[in-house]
Amino acid sequence: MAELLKVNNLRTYFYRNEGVVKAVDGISYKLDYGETLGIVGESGSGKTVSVLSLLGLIRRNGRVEGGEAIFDGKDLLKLSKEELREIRGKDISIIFQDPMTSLNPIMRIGIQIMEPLIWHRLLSDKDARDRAIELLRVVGIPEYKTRFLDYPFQFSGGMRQRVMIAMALACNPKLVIADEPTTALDVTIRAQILNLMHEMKEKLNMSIIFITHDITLAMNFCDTIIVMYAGKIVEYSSIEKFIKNPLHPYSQGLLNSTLDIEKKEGSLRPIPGNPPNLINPPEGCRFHPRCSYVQEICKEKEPELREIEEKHKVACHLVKGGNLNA
Amino acid sequence: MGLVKYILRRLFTIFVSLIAVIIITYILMWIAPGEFFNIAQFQASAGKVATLTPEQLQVLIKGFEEKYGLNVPLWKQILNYLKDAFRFKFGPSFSNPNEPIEVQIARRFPVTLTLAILSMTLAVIVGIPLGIIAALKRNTWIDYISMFFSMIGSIIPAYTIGVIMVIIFSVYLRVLPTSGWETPKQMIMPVICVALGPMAVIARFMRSSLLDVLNQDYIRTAYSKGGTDRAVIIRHALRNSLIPIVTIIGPQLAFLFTGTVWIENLFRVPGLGQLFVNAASMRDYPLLVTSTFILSLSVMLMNLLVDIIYAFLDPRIKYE
Amino acid sequence: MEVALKQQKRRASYWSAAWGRFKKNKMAVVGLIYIIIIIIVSIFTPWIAPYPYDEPHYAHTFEKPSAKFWWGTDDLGRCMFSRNLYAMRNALLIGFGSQIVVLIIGVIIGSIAGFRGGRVDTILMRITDIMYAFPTFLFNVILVTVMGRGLFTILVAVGVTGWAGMARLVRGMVMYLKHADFVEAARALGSKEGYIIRKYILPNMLGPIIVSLAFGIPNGIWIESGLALIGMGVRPPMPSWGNMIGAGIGYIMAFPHMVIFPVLTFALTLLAFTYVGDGLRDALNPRSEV
Repeated sequence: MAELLKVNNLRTYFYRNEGVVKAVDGISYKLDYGETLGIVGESGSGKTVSVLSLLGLIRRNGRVEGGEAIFDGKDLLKLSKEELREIRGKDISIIFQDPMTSLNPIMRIGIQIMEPLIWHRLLSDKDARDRAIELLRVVGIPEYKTRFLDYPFQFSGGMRQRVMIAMALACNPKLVIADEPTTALDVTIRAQILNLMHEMKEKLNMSIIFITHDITLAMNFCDTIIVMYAGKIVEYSSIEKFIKNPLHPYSQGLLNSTLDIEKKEGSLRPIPGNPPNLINPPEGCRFHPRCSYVQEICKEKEPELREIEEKHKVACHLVKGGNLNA
Repeated sequence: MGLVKYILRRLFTIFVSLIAVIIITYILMWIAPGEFFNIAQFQASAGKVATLTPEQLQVLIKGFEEKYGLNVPLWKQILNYLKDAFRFKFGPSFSNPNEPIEVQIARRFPVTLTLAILSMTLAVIVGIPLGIIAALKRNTWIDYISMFFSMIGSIIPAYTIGVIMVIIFSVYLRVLPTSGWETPKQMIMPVICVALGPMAVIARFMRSSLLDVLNQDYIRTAYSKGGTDRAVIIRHALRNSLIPIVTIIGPQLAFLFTGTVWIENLFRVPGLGQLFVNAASMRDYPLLVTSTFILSLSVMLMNLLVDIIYAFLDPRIKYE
Repeated sequence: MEVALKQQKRRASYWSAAWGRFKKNKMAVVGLIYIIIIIIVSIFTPWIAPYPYDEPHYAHTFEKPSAKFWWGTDDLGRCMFSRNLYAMRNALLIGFGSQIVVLIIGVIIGSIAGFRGGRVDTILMRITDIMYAFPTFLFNVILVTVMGRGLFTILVAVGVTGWAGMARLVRGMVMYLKHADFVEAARALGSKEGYIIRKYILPNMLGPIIVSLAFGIPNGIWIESGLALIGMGVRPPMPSWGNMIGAGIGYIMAFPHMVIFPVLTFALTLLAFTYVGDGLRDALNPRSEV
């Protein structure tokens, strides 16, 4: 498959009063056409920042410090503001986490869906309108013709997220970034939204970066998975290999802290401690203070992301010969 | 529709509030120590110097009480006043017994209204862009300077700024007259003085409101859709940030009318504010009550207008 | 016991953190120093002032500033410097005093409305809304006309008309804190209502109330001067910035010093209070971290 996006050694720092927060500290990955990539991690692990950095959408005290991001032959990080703007919404679009706050509360949703089409001069006003109505139908809004003129407050959370999806799909983008698209929704609505996204993915053959803190969700939905911890990738694997053999202690920890009906009682083992402060991250492996297998080397030397088998990389000193030797 | 019902209910609230204001004012005057009216002043206005016998004086006072409706109990006075007030009949004042108050008010009200509307307009059309520029250029010298001046404008009272302006423009530069209200040139300083306070408050509020909106998720969404700075700010940020501004314009109106009281006195503008101060200093109670009544009514009606505009700006508001 | 100690420590650190934030704001610190100085000066005004505020010197009318009269003299030859000191003293008295009245009325009405809710709340808030939208300066004038023009009556008049904002603030906080998670938690643990109010609700309300009072003081000062300007302030010969400015305007062409000094001290004082208020707001409200 052809490569759509290749990120190399991306670093994004935030400058705060207390110091420099290294939110994303040298991550690399690639994404093929039609591939779905899941990025998993706790809040504050840098998963959202790592993709928003690509589009220049991080808040004003943050800055991309280095790296490259080749999208369709162009380095996103070196584009001018205007060139980047032309890509946003047209080639790469984003579905944000909270549909309650991500839609403009005082603008009719139809207009909000039309905006990317008009801003990128893809369609005339009238055609954009027809397209927006069509999109509302596609994402499953009932009475889409009249609801076109409604305001966000007249929609439920799930319906708003459908609107967000319609907006993201408006220009037939090559890549859709879904930033925890179901986290803010009720459990019953989540499945609907995921099904909708799955359907769209099949129909439109686009690439998706799916950001979530729910590792089982990512395992069900994605082709490839990246596990991030404290601004770094700790495991990067095709989904088959990962399901068969999750190697990094943190990945295992994430899996153990999710409920599984088939497992016995007492199988729920949360990871102790909290994610580290990214102003002064721990020496050596950033996970070592919370790792139950920790050894001397973990405290001193930072592990590199090594290829263990084909399409399976892990950053851990203790992984040897395809197994975690502890 | 909801709007008509809403306006009717608000008008009813205003009606009740006005009654409350009148009752409070009457009670305050009633509990005031000393005579309800000033005998010396009354004698002067009756054109008689203190050459009256006590009996004659009693007769005169009686006639006076009848003329001003003071010969009945307090509650009845209030009731009579209210009955007349809502037909805009206010009777004569102490200081000017031969001219009904409504005639005096009719002459002065347009002046104050003009001053208030001109000032509010100026405050809005300068304050809002100033706040927007400060927010968009935040933490630059443009921001610091405009916020420093709006800080000064919002805390130094209108009359002090008026004095400073007189010193500069009338005393030293000799370009503007110090008083009067006939020519546009005479209106410049009063309007600016009254406008400065609300203008400064609006600018500060606009700045923080816009900064707040610019941090909202939906702004990021708009950028993610490929909006230019211009499109995002104009289409998404500005309208959202203007909504809270409307809510502070209401209280600013009260503030602005207070400003007119001082400024009319400072620049000798023949408006309601001046009438009000004269009434207070001469203890002319009928005039005092009525000018309070009219000024309150104006503020409340303008507040209603502001709230209607608010509802038009924000689709989420339903007239509850 | 241990929990109580921790609570104590946490609160202490809240105030010391607030002080740390306040210190970073240079204008606020300068304002605070200025205010402390003028408070001390005001306490000792009768000993500091070179002349009594009402002592005329008919041989020295309209004098420009000199070694004898530092800030010159007015139309009756009274020492402008002394009169400014007394005016400042009156202004501070009314500024602080009126806020005590505001605090008492606002907290009582706001907390009754907040705690009771229902119809009591509706009625009290209607009244507050009227006060809020009403040009209260008119009430000030009427009150002073009725009660007389003493320092104390002006102080009360300013307070009686200025409590609407405080009542709204207190009500809002009570409504929120009443059902805040940590209060519900304390209630669930069986704390008595009185204890909850003392230990949870009041301490959390303190910050915003202090900020509101800090902004109320300059407000009270300028209402007092505004009253004096239109002849409704303290009775002459007692000086007030308002009546000094009002008197000076008549001679503004020939003797600008009669206006400039009162206007400058007045403006400086208002600025100082507002900067301190800004500093306090940023310091006591850690959310506003920019």
